[in-house]
Amino acid sequence: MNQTARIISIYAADTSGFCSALYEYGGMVVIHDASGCNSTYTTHDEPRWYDKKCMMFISGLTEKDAVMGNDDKLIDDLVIAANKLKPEFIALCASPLPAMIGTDLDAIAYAVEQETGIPSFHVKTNGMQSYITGAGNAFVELAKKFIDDKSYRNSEAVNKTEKETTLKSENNDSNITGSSDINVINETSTISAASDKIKVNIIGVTPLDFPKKENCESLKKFIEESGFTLNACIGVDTSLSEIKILPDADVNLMVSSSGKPLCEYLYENYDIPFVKGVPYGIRFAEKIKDLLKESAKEKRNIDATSDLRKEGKVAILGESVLSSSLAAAFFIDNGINACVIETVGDGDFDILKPFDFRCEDEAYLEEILKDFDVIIGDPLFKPICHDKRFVSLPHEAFSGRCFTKNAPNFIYASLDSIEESNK
Amino acid sequence: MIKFAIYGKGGIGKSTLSSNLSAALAKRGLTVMQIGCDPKADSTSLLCPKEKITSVLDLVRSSKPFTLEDMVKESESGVLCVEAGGPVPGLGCAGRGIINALESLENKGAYKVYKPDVVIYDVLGDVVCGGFTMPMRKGFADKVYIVTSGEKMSIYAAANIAMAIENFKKRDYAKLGGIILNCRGVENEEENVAELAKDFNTSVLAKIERSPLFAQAEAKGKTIVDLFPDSDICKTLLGLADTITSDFN
Ligand SMILES: Nc1ncnc2c1ncn2[C@@H]1O[C@H](COP(=O)(O)OP(=O)(O)OP(=O)(O)O)[C@@H](O)[C@H]1O
Ligand SMILES: [Mg+2]
Repeated sequence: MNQTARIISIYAADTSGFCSALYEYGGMVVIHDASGCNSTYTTHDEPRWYDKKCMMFISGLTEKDAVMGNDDKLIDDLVIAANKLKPEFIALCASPLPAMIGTDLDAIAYAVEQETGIPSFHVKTNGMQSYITGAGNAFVELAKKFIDDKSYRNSEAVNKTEKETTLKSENNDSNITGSSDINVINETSTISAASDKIKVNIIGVTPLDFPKKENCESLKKFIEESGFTLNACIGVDTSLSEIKILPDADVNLMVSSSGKPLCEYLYENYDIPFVKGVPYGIRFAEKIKDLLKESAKEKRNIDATSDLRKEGKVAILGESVLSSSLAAAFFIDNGINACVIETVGDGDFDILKPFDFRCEDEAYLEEILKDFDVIIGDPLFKPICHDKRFVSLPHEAFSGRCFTKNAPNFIYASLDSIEESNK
Repeated sequence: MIKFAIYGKGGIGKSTLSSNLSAALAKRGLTVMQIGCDPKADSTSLLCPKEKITSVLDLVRSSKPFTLEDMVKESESGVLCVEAGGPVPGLGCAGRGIINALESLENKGAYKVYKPDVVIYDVLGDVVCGGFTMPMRKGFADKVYIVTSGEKMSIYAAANIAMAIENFKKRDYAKLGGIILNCRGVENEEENVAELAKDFNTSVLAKIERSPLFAQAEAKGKTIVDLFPDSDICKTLLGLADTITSDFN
């Protein structure tokens, strides 16, 4: 049987990715679905559920509503809830049922925005793609809705001539009315010009790939200690104001496939290049630091792993950007060669090497793994890993909270502990 | 880009008029794409012989990879013809089929590659489910023209469609562009349709007489515009094409 999983788990769906990406931005996050399934997105896939609030809802779609095309009920519910809760925005996505019957959530978002005046948008999901697609699209839609295009496009045009005059002309520009957001933007750009530090956005952080508090703290520490200014961390420990100032950055650090669509969007629309890679290990992190500078200077997108990979007898299972980064870190930090086996079936495939594998099929995966000596992956892969040496590296998007507590943190830290953590 | 949809009761002449409008607009030098949104896949039969066209959903059904060129066929008069197609009658979900076909077309870049000046969506008679409103959703047609005769049932169907458009106002869908009277020769035909137009605050854009030329052209698999360019009907059709283009400007 192809594409079936009898033994191993499956990855979180696009709807979970959507919820995870938008969790901290103060919006009403709504999945159009039958009721009773909230727990899938919350208790299973969302470690923040217990200590951070989020207005996450299921629409409670019934068979009658689906048959009758009772979209007005959803619109009415959204309007009532929004008027009560006053969210920063309303984001809608579809479970398989509305996706199949073609419910026009774009139109529903439009109608709700007209009625409430609250920015509303739809993120395309169908409940059948992976969390990467859901989170990736959610970040982009959020950015499209909240980056104030006018102020950035204007300032960018001037920016090309000279930076200092930009600041002056922006302050004097009577066209820009004194909205508080724009004031914030001006202030921060003044600071950056003064300190001359490169500003970096970290893009693509969700607990589905980075479940522990330490993961996020290490990413931030890496940026600060490398002499950069952290402009925004999308999307953990963050807020809507960070989305608004995304174009202030000089370079983006793309730390997962979920961050790719937003990185590409910022590159295409605001000329901000990105470096692809998670700063695992010590020397690989150092390398990323240099590449961030290079990328900012040359306005070029760079894959940090590209010349740091060699075929080996170690297999790293999982999401492509994280796994490739770990392989690169093993190579440069510890002299270990590893192949990546991309097991989500979604995400950034450009980062993979010819000797890597893409494999979503359990039986095929079991076959492939026979050729390796050591296998690094989520514990739920272990049952199909024969009696090979197995190194456990929990992945929230695959095994939920089951193993998070014992998950090691290799970001901006030595990889040597991998042995200890698995004793 | 001028994008409009033709709706109206089953059998009222939507496909015939869409094809003639396509031919007329092509004659005016515009690049026209006509998309049949009907599982019958007979919208463009007056422009392009049926065996030349494979419907989008037939391509999807084949499970083999396909290209944009497989979906879009150019007629003799230069009209780009597409048929959405659908499931076998009595099975599957035709509405979902329209959604799938229109999405496939967009995903393969049909509008970007062919850069048509005009896109015509010819939609099946009865808007039975959400899938058949797809052509009037945002990003598709900007205006809807309703074809009707003076017959009671036809006016009833037209009123239902006009009402649906009215209800979708909140959603930023296509607007009602007007009514096309396709005569059946019944009593008080013009008055009845004029009243319908008044009810919905719109106008009758053209009156097309009932004529044997339609059957003659159909027998040859051609449009009146191509086969009888000097006929009065052809003049009316060209006039309607001009009214629609100026309606968009
Ligand atoms: N003005 C007219 N005079 C004479 N015959 C006409 C006229 N308009 C249309 N017809 C004929 O009516 C028949 C039905 O037309 P057509 O197939 O275009 O209808 P339709 O609305 O597309 O139908 P469906 O809803 O099934 O798609 C055709 O044979 C066509 O030639
Ligand atoms: Mg027809």
